[in-house]
Amino acid sequence: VSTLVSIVVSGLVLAAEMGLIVLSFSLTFRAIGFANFAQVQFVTIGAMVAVALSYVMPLWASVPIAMVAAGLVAVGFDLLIFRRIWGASVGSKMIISAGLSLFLLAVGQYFWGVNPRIYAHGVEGIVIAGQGIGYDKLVVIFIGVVVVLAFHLMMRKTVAGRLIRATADSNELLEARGISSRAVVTGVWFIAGSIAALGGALLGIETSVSPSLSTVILIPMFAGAVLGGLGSTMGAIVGTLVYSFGQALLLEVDFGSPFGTSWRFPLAYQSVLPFVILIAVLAIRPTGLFGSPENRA
Amino acid sequence: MSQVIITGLIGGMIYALVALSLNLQYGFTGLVNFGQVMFFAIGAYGVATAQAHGLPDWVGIVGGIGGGVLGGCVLAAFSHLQEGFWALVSLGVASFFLTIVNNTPWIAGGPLGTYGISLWSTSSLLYLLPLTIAVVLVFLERLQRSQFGRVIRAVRDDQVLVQSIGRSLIRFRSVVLVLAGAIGAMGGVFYAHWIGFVSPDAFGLSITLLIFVMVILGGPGNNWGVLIGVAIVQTFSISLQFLPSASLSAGNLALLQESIYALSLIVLLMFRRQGLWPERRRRYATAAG
Repeated sequence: VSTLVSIVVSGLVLAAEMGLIVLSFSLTFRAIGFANFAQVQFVTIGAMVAVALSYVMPLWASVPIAMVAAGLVAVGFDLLIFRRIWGASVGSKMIISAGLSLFLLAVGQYFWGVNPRIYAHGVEGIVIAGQGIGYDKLVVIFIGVVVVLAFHLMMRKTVAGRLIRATADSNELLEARGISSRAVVTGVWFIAGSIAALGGALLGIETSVSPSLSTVILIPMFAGAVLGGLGSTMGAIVGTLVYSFGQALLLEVDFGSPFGTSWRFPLAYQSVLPFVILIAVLAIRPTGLFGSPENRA
Repeated sequence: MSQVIITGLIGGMIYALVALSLNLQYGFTGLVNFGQVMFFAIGAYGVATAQAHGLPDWVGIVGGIGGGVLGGCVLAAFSHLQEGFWALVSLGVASFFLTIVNNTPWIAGGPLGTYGISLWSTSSLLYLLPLTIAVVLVFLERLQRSQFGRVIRAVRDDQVLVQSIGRSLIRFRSVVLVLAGAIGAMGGVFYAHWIGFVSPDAFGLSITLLIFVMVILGGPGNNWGVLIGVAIVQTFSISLQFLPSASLSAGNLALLQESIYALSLIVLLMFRRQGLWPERRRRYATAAG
């Protein structure tokens, strides 16, 4: 039972953290039409700001500040770069975003250094079915669920959500109604930047934070998004859930036990999993679980 | 001083092979290969693997270039995908390859790498490399002027046109990837025999970025422009080493270098996508004039 609890909890925690990151990535993908490498930098900025501020203020204050900061950075790069390359090819846009990502990584390493840091606050825990579980894990899962639900309601029930969906589907139609699609896209950047930052701040609770966090989560982010279907925000969540539980199962289960032996997936190859998922999904079903054929990478 | 120039020259010529390979994919065919460093790494790992298992040098050379062809075949298997999807695959495949060699000590020493690869003397590198580049260049220039060259440029510029004249996008992209894999791997073979040591640290995403800067600065689709791009970037990196050592630590120098490359990539693609020496586009007479 304790193995099961630990699989469920670690799967849910990973899904909550990565789910927010993948959600933000898919949201920008839907609005701007290409895979934005720099999304991982909004995650890292959020994590770094939240951790740095945690030494001078409580988390409930530092995390929202980190979200706003990353959202503003995202809007800044929209104004500075992304809205100026609207007509460029998908490939050029991807190279530009990769360049931006590596630029921000270098800047981050200059100012932050390479040392990982952790939150100032300690962590307490409870015990479920003989398995010690930190409150932090429960908080992460709770925040993840709440934000995803809130996001879903916003997209479906509010005017802002309708505008975002309309922009993704047809700019011309929106402009014909006298609404600036560029303003909507700028809004999308802010929302996506802050959700990415929240994901980063939560990741920081589980691990430590340094600029190279961005490098670590890049391919898992792509893999989760592609698995769910690029551009589908619902798919982002389902894709990440499948991905996280798949990974937790693969690592925690002793595959040899039905045969009376013991064989576990070698930990050394754990880092290969996201690459395999990314390649396999694009080989078998490029639109993922929920992507529509019109969505282009 | 002269030692630095020779080192820069040999390094530059090795980059030139990798850059010509990327130019064939990106400049001519429109394939955005985010895993270009993989071809380079495969060449080096062919040599390193042969060394680690006590096989003769020629096995490593053949294996390295053959491995590049194989890597090209793997990427070719995805050439039916749209531009952006294929770019993601190229990154995924390269990361996969590098993680496997990093975590499997049996192949070539894992994270510790392989030492003791037979060194080729500077003088032999100084004639072997220009010779190889010349052969590759003549081949690429002839290829570019041939019908094959016209079709791959059409693959880049107008895919519907290519399909409407009954040509297979997939086949042309595949041939390009196999050729580019072999050319890029040649750079890796030379690298291994030049440095004598191969480890995973030498092959990060930042190398791919560097190669992209060289190609886009010089002129995508123009082999000569790309060679000038390689020369400019390489001269710049070498001259950075002459900065007064007190002003910057080695780590910060590397960061400065990377941020300049990343920034120039953004600026070039935003304001001068065709590079400094753009591809010369041939005009064809049309009925409409």
